[in-house]
Amino acid sequence: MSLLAVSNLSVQFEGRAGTVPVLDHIDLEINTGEQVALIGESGCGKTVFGMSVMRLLPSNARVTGSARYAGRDLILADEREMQQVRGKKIAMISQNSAFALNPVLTIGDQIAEPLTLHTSCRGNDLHREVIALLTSLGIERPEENMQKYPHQFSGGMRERILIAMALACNPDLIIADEPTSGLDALVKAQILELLRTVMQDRTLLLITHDLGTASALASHTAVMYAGEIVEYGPTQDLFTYPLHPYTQGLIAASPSAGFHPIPGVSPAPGQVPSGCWFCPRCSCAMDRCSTVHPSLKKTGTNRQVRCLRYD
Amino acid sequence: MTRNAFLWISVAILALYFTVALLAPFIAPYGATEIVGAPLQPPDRGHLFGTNDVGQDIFSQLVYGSRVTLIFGFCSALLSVSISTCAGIVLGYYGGNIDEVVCRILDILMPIPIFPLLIVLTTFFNPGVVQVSILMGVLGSIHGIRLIRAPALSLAETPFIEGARSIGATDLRIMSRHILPNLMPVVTAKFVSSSQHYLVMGVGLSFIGLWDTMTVDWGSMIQNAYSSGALSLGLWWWILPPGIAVVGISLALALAGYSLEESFNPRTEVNRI
Repeated sequence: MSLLAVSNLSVQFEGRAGTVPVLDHIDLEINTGEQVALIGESGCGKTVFGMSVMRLLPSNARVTGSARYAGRDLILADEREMQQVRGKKIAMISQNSAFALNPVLTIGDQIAEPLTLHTSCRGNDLHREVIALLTSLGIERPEENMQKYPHQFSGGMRERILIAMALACNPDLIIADEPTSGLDALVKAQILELLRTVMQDRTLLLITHDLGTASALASHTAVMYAGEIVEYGPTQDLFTYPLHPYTQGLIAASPSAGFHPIPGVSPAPGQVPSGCWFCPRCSCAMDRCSTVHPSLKKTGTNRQVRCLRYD
Repeated sequence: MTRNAFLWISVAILALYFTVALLAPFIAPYGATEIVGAPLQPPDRGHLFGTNDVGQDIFSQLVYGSRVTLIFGFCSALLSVSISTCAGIVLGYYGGNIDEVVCRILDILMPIPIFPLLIVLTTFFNPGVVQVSILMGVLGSIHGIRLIRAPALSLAETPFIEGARSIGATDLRIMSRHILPNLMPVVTAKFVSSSQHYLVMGVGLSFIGLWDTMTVDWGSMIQNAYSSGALSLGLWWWILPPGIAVVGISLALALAGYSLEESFNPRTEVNRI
């Protein structure tokens, strides 16, 4: 059953230099219990996608399309409605743990905040709840640690605290935006392991540029390029048999496959070429690739790909 | 000496002033306007600082006068800093057109000198201490709004404010629970420096007789002594006590302000080798 159905979602930013399209007609369905990874290069619009579902984009963003969640369209919901959804129904683990916590509030207060906002839990119950959350995320001596401030923790610990905040109200969907950015390899492995355990029977939208993180956590993966989805499928299949040349390139560029970078750079928003957007960098481009823009087509049982070679 | 020592010294001095103001009826031997002896008596055992031209006890006047002076300084500062903080946070957080418009208005109001403006306003309306205090708090908040708005603006863009929005916090909650605590250092330092500023200004306004001249406060005491020629007649006990009292609290507040600013803002720290 689909928990969040995003269809035809486009985002444009209005600036002094005119309107810049960032996301183009995104269709993505997240079913209950699925962990969907959204992967792509920096600047391809992954974070904007997460933010547009949460309706946290700045006021100069023009969002069209729909994001249906629990019978309503989040894109059309008003601010008051969204405040009831954020943190309670859809929670976010934001990137960059160093700045994602308020430096002048204790972490106990910050973990308690979603509970204060969305539940009637107060006083001793609240205290117990926070301790239970900290314990479940492997933070030792919770009584003592909840009195501390964010700067007294390491990056890995802060990440755990952010995960605790996101899990506090037991939300239906968790959007994790680069949950392991800025962590060293060892801590990253620990956090990934932790996320894998806690996300096992939850619904997750994972936003990352790291293929390793995606394959470790996600049941399904969507590949994004220059603001559109170019390939979608079960993670295992997609990484073993990548269909789109861009996905193939991404996998070949990963350290384990020998670091073969994709030639060229991805187009700046609003300056995409005619035809297939990946065409100028594609090693197997055909003549019509530079004129015809491919659409996202179903291939096989549950794969989708945006490439003329599979038409 | 460390800045902490300076801070504690100034806090001790301020505590002394506040104790005197609070316990005035128990400390002062006579009433502020009570005529208790021969005029212009030099200090002796009965009258610690002597008496003035109508035979009022100067020590008692000094003790009671601390109330008006302190209340004026701190209430104006409190009002001014409250307005600055609320307006600054709201402008910084919401930004956009309202911010633009209010900032331009503030730009226009900024260069207007408050003291002369107050003199003009008080000549027309003849207000009391409370009204002048309110007027001054409002007018003086212009600079404070800009001071608070700037850090609020950058705080509004930080990831943890976005984080607060992402857990469903309302704007009011974000401003009061997330932005305000981050601004407390600036707000506190501004409050201390404003109190000093307003306190001295209050003494000045009273000295030139801009509010009810029957009110006994340090400004009017100096004014009485000054206009009666205390200086040329060598009546030092009449003019020095209120003068020293003003200088003392003003120094203590300045010292507290600087130490607070230094401890909150690491960039002001000088190299101590």
